[in-house]
Amino acid sequence: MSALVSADALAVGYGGAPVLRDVGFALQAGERIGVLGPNGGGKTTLFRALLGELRPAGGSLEVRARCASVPQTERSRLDFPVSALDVALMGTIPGRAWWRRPSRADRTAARAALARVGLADRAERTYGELSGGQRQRVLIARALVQDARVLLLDEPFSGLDAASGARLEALLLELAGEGRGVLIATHDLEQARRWDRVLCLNGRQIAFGDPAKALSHDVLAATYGGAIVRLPPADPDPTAPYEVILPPHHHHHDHEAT
Amino acid sequence: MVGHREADAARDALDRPLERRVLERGDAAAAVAHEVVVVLAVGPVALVARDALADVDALHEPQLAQQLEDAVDARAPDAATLRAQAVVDLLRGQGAVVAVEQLDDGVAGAAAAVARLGERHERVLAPRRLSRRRHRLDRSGQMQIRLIPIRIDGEAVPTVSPSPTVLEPFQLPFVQRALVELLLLSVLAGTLGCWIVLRGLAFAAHGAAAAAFPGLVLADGLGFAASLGGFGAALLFALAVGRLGMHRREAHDARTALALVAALAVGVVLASDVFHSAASVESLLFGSLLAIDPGDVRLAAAAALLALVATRLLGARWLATGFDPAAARALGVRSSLPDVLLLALVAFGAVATLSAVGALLASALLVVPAATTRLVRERVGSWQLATAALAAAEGVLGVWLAVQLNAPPGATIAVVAGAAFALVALLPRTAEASA
Repeated sequence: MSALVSADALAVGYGGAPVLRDVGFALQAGERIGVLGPNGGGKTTLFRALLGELRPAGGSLEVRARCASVPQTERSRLDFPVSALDVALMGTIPGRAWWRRPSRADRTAARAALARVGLADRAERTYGELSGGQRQRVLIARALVQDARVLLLDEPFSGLDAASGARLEALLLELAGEGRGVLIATHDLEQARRWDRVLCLNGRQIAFGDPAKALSHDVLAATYGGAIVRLPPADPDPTAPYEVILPPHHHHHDHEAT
Repeated sequence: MVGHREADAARDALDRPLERRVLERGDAAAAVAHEVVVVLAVGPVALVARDALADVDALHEPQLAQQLEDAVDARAPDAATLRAQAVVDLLRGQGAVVAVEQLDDGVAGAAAAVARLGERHERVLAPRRLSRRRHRLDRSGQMQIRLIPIRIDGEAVPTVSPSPTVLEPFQLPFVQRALVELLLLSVLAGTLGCWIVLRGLAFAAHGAAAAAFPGLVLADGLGFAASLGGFGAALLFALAVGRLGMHRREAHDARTALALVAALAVGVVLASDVFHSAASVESLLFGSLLAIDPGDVRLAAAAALLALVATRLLGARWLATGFDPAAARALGVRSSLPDVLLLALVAFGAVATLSAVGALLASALLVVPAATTRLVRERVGSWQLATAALAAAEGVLGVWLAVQLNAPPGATIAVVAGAAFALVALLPRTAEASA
């Protein structure tokens, strides 16, 4: 079975020098890949290339399934007068001629997608009034409405409490089980260890593979520019040393500039 | 002056019945007689005409009561005529100014009694347009009343209704035309206004309307269609400045303000120093709702129709782009055409409101109603309906108040809209409490 997405020596940029190069990975159906990297490391650029917004400046990128983006919920306007159903319905825009309004079938599909992410009873609620986890799931529903087999999630767990995070993680596992490919951009190293593969980016591809093997100290140092602090074990009988990664500008979320 | 004739006629009407009770009037013979016998009338109410020669005050004789003359009021004695002053103060017409020109139909001399309501319709013509094309105001910027049609007889007038109603102003044809204009514009306010508020274009809309002002002055001076000049300037402004504001507002506000001030300044300079049309500046800036012509109504109808069609076709895209521009791009809304069309519509809508509320008060229709209902509506559809209804109600109330108070209608509507916003903003929010 061929991969949903495969990149080889891919270079992407915004007209000038590529901001991301040497990318070579494959996303198989049913796989969840954690995309690690500092801000400006190229995570958003890679996603935009997968969505077709940016053309490869070099190498090859093959996207064999429809990709849909699931952005951070804070990027959307929480004060907008839209319901969860309205947001899910935005997913029908790509499949519709511009002069047409959402059909009954579109509405049915949007409701089904909301039911799929466990929000059937929240369809009429105002989007901004939902919890962070619920909003994230509404945006996943919007991606499902597009019939996307590849989901690109940008920091989906940021700002979620443990229960919401666990629920979202279970949902991503289910979606992968349906044969979808999931790319998850994240800063959370511990979480990334639980995905099937990790892709480390910092202007170029640092590593790709099984998290247990790929996330070596050297890889992390190269990914995060050496901003790694090794903490002495607090436990008298430590089973493993503890590393803390301090990505530069962790609170700076301007992906637009990358 | 007609006013003088009216006043004299009124006094004559008053004098006639009085004269029957005057016992003695001036007698030319008394001036040359050696002896005059004066018979005093004893009675508390009789009047003595104050003629110079025959007036005798018998100071040494006691009187039963002090005799005062009734004041001869300089008003028409007829109650029905007095009520006609709801429109124009007839007897003080020389000193009164109204915001709009009121021209006479040229047959003011006719003295036949006519029905009170019918008289207004027949004698007070719909005002003609003050500005833009043909008429010029005087230097004060306001049109003096030139000729006031009045009744000059004191006869009893058959009345159509026993008393004037609060709806009476709405029977005037130019008020009715203003209402039609406002109802059309409230459709515009309900559709386009909501997109303006939702997409953060309130300042751009205000700026586009202000930019239309020098366009109107240019059109006036150079002799091409006013709405074309206004739309050209507003479109230029909206596309040049509004485009950036849709996505990155912070850096953009200052530029909008700069362009807005420049537009106003250019307009004033053009009007006063180039085309010498400074007198019409006021009506261009604040509107002349009671002096609109059918062309203005057609323009408003076109704008309302365009806004409805565009909302239906492009609403989903405008919503998605405003909700999250990056996500909208990912959804395939990559063309900037929908947003450009929105800005063009903002420019067109701003020009359509100019005749009603003027370049500086366009926001009273395009922004304030939508911002008011936004406080209480949670979905785009119901928000737009509520906004159209509110804008219509504010417009009707504003016109009624303007006619009653003889206030400028555009500013009155703006005040009503602002008051409605304050009222709704101060109301306890039940929706939030339950959510």
